[in-house]
Amino acid sequence: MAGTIIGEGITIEGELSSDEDVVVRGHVRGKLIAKEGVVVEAGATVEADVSGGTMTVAGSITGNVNSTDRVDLQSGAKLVGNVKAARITIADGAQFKGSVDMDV
Amino acid sequence: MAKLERPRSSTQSSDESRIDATATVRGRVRGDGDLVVLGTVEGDISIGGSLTVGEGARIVTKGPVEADEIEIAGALEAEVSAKGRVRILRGGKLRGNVTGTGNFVLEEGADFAGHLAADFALPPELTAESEKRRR
Repeated sequence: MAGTIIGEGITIEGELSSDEDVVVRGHVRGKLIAKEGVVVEAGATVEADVSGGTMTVAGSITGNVNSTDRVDLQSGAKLVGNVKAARITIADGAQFKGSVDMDV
Repeated sequence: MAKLERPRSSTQSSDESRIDATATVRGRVRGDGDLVVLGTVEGDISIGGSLTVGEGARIVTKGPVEADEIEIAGALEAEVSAKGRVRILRGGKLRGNVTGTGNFVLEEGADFAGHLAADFALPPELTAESEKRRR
C-alpha cells in the first residue's frame, strides 16, 4: 500500500499535500491537501482545512472539509467545521458541528 | 510455508510514518516514531526514532534535522544531529553539518559536504601513543 502515513506519535505543523492516500494516526496542524482518500483514525487529531477524495473520519477534525467524493463520519468521530461533499454519512455516536453543502 | 506468513494487521506499523513520493510537507515534523521520507520535506524534523531519506526524496531546511538514526539515500540539506548512526548510502547526498553521532558511515558513491563533529573512542594504542608524546 502506497501513500502517506502520519504515525501515532508524530505531529506535522504546516502544510501536507499528496497525490496519494493520506492516513493520519497522529496530529496534523495547518493544512492537508490530498488527491485521493483521507483517513483520520480514532485518536488522531487534525486541526486543519482538509481537501481530498473519499474521507473516512474516526478521529477529530477542526477545520473545513472539502471532498470531491464522500465524507463518512464514523462513530467516535468529531468534526467542527463545514463540509462540502457530494455525499456524507454521519454515524450514530459521531459529533458534528458545522454546515453541510452537498453541492446540488 | 504459507502458514508462516503473518497477517498484516493494521496496527503493525502504527508508530511508523511515511511521506510518499508524491507528497510535500511544508513545515515542521516532530514526535516519536520512525519516519520514512520518499517525497519532499521543506522544514525542520525532530523525531525520537529512525529517519530514512529514501531514493528520490528531498529534505531541505536551514534548521535542524534530529533523529535517533538517519539513513540517507536521497538528498538532505540541514543541520543534522543523531544519537546513533548516520549513514549515507550510494547516491545519497548530505549538505550540512553533522553533530552528536558516534557512528558515521559514508558509503562509496555517497556525497557529503559539511563539517562532521563526532565523538570517537580512540583505540588504546592510540591513547597510549598520545600519552607518551605528551611526556
